[in-house]
Amino acid sequence: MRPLKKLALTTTLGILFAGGVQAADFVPETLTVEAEIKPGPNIYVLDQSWKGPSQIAVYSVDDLSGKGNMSFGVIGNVTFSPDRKTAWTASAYQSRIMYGDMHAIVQKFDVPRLRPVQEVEIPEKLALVAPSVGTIQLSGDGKYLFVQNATPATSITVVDVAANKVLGEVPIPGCWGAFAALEGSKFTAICGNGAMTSFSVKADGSYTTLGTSARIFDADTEPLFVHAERAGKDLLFLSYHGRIFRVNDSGDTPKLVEHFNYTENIDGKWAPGGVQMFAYNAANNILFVTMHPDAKDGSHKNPGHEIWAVNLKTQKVLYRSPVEEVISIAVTSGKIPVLFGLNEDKGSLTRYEVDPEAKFAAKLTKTREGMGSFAVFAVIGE
Amino acid sequence: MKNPLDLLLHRLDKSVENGARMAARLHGRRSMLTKLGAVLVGTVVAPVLPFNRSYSSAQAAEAGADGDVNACDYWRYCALDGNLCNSSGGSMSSCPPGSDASKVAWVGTCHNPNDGKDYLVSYNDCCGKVEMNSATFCFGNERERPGYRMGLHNDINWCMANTNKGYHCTVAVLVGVADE
Repeated sequence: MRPLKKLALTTTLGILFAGGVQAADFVPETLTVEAEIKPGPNIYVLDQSWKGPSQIAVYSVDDLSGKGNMSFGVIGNVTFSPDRKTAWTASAYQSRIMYGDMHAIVQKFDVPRLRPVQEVEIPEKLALVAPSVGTIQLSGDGKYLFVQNATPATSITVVDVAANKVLGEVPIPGCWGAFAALEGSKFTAICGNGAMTSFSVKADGSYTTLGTSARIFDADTEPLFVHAERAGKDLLFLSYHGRIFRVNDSGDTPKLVEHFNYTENIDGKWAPGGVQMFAYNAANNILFVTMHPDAKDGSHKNPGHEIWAVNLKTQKVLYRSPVEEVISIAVTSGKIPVLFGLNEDKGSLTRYEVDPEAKFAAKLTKTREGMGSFAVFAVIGE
Repeated sequence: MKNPLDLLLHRLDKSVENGARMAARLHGRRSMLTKLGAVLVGTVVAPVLPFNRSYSSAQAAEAGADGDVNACDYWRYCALDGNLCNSSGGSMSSCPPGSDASKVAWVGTCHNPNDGKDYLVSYNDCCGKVEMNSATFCFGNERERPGYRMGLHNDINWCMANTNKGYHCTVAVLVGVADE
């Protein structure tokens, strides 16, 4: 024990003993533990650490007040149940943190109580990778977790949620991500040859390759980010160059519905960039995208200088809101959206109110710093 | 006299623990990007390598005084997203003491403005300990692709195939000259 701590302990004990001679009307406080997080809609911010525990911090959507956090392992990724009452993380635990025996662990969290309630060890081939939505997802029927592996050969570990055990593995050579279908136990992966392939899993651990699309994109000339947003029966993807791809994943074979580039005829060589670089507001059919100017090869991870509001029906940019180095965004689903941004360099979370009457202009209303050194992924729970 | 492939592999043996070998896929297109479906995988030797394995040219470029190797804009770091090992006790082609070289790596194609040639750069991570807080962090992403082109992906921990998986830093080893 360090001397300073000894002194502090002595002082504390002194205060306790002194309490016996304090005023008769003094009522000592009782130490308690909050049972649950405070009510209200939240934004969950993942700070993924490559050298220690990762964490998901919970902030109020309304005022960014902190409500608590959940901690787990190194290079952790996360997914939530649709009601946001349950979270599952996949992360690495080595016996000596940075070296030693490796255990890849999926942990189940009770979100209101912010407590881990269950865990299962998965194969150590778990992909230790920067955050993205496709690295861990819950199947549409809620029965299975799909977790990305890389050895560097790619595959998906399937976890039976109810049985809390590893059910099997689906090889996805040359492909990446497990984007769960709305229904059933199916997912779709993005492949380096420009196609997308859907797979389904069964309770016995077997899997079926349902179908592979025709080439949807060109990974050489116009690659896709591995972020996706659900828009009804479709998944929305985005290319490095600002082309939105709408893919229907409801059948056995993924089908390209449409694609369009919203940056054409706009000066300044603007392009999307970042980590979680687009967010979909269903009530208004608007896609918000972080955009940076003077785009060039290698700028696809650059943070946005503006957030563009793209009308998916008219395929036009409605408004360009200036922002400060926003690398990831998330948006609420209602008619009057609230938009959130993450600034990696500053470790800040920003809140914007969006005005549908003003072409979905985003107005900064609050900033909160201290998100962490790699806080680049967020999920909203309403 | 060994042939160039043997020389290259010998050099990899020396510079990468556990004898990394290069596996590469030829996509049949002219651009180096498409030719680089390459992943350095230990113990795997690809029958065809899609570039001119000119050991002498690569060696000459490495030895030359062609820029500030401690600056992120040094040409060799064009796709290096991580900590420079030469700011952590290593060099551009050696891991710092006490770390392990990754068995697998991603590959970049970087243009050397000094001789006008494009070089293949193997970005191996060095593994098994925490990063130095003072390390220089660089953010190069030229020709970088997501995990569906794994050999070109730099947002993943390339210590993945090692026993000790903690990320420490990244080296930039010249392994060849791109085809004209």
